[in-house]
Amino acid sequence: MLWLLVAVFCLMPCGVSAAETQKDLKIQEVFQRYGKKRNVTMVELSNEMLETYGMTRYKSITIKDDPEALRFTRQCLEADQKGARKIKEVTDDGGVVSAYYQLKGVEADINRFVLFKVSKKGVITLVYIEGDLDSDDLITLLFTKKDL
Amino acid sequence: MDIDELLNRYFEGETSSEEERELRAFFTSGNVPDRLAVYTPMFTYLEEESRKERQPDEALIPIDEDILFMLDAEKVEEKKTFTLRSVLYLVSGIAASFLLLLGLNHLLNPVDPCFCSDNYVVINGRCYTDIHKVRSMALEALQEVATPTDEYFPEVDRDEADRVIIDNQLDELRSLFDDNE
Repeated sequence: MLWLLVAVFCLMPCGVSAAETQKDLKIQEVFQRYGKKRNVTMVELSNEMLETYGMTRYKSITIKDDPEALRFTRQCLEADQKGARKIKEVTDDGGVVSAYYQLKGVEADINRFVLFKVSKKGVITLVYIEGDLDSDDLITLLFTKKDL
Repeated sequence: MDIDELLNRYFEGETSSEEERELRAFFTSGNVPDRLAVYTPMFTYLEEESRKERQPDEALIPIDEDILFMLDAEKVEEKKTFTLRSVLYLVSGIAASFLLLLGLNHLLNPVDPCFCSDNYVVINGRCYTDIHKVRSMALEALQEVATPTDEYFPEVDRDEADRVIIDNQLDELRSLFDDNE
């Protein structure tokens, strides 16, 4: 009986992630690995306040001063961008410095986007967006400064 | 059975309780032959001791009914205390095990401080759920990825020709989306 309790408690996942559609992506590991570290800001939005923008989920992570994180993020992007639609990709010295990808959807009518940028100061910004918005909506959102 | 034979068996240690009782009865009856009179004090003493064990002599040890009642009550109380203590030990043990398991679980599966919230921002490992802070951080990240390329490229790389090419590419990109629409 005691062992059963031990097993249940040890294996019980405490925070079941709601980001099921993000599960297949390598970039999820960036959020998991660096999300709670120093010099890192991670944001998650996932309710009706996103509906105005046709989004159902928004996640972003900003990592400062971490070359290893940059290497790992690029590695994850490299894996996730296979089969994705490249909306924009800027490389410098063989490394991606800015990119917008529209990923293959796992659900009908749900588009998934990954936005990435590394600033000249080495600040990494990675954004994951999913929802029924299309790439036009995304570009409009990005280039017209609106409040979320 | 012959009393001599019974005595012999008694000294050999082969008599039963019933037979020993018979011997004691015989030697306390007052009809003991002279040849066996030497054993009378011993069996009389044994008979007295046996009686004391069987029933406390009220004349010798006067025990108040209240004291007897109190003794019985104490026994019951002790039994109750013992039972209550056992239950307390059991409950404490279960509670301690539960806490231990919780601690173990917390260690193995660190609780996401934000798991109860749909909207949050984690800054340097600390979770905030203030919606204004969350929004402003989300917007900041979006603005960062949307920063025009001229803000990305360092000053030394700002070559006008390159700038024109990049702007043209961006225009093409935008027009591509417009065509798709």
